[in-house]
Amino acid sequence: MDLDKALSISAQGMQVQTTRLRVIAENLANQDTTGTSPSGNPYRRKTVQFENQLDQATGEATVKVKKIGEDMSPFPQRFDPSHPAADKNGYVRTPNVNSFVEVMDMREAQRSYSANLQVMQVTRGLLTRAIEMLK
Amino acid sequence: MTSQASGGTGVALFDLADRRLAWLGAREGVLSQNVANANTPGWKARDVVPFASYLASSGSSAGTLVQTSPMHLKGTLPDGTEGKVQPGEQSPDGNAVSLDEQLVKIAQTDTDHELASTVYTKYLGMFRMALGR
Repeated sequence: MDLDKALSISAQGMQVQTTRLRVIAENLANQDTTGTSPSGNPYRRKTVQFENQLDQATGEATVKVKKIGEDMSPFPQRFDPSHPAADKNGYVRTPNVNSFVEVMDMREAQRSYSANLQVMQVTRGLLTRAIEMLK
Repeated sequence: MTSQASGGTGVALFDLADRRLAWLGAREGVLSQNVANANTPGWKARDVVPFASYLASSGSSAGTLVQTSPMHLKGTLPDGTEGKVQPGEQSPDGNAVSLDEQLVKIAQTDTDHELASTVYTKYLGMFRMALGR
């Protein structure tokens, strides 16, 4: 039945947004995680990529997380000679996490999540109304 | 009894409400796909064929799908067709889903479903009244 499919598609949509939010939380929590030695890398920002997936059982196009990748942009540097991870010139490489970008991404994830939730509520309303026709 | 003959007795209204509800259910499924894929690169919003053409196509055999291309597989209900993308709506990753537009369509589906189910229930009530139950 289509309404049941709609419910599971919305659930899938909410699940991928939750994964996205988890990755954002990881990035924000690690935005100050530097290496412990001059050769060690600091935390590298993670990215999440979505992909459309055809559910073989129902024939519906659901959504899934394609992969959690890494942001390969260069690390910003900060002058801090006393830091254990400082190189011979006194610079420490810091994570390539921009908290503004993460917060904006978080807002978008929240918006998509609530849209899916709203679809779910409407679908549930349709199902309830169909059941009430039996009474 | 053919549908022509039942049209005289008014039972065709049940059939019409039934098809409307099936169409609305299919539409809800397609719209939920759009919302779930609102951040998927390359995904374009889809919608089902309008109810009028769905009804016209299923005039004799209810619930059959018009095959606009010989490559299409035969389904039982209207399938998702990609709509036209408005210029400026597409994001750099090729996604063209406007969440607001989808939510408006979902609200519309909700209202239409309420109407169809109310018609069905009221009509059934008239039959019950005639039967004296």
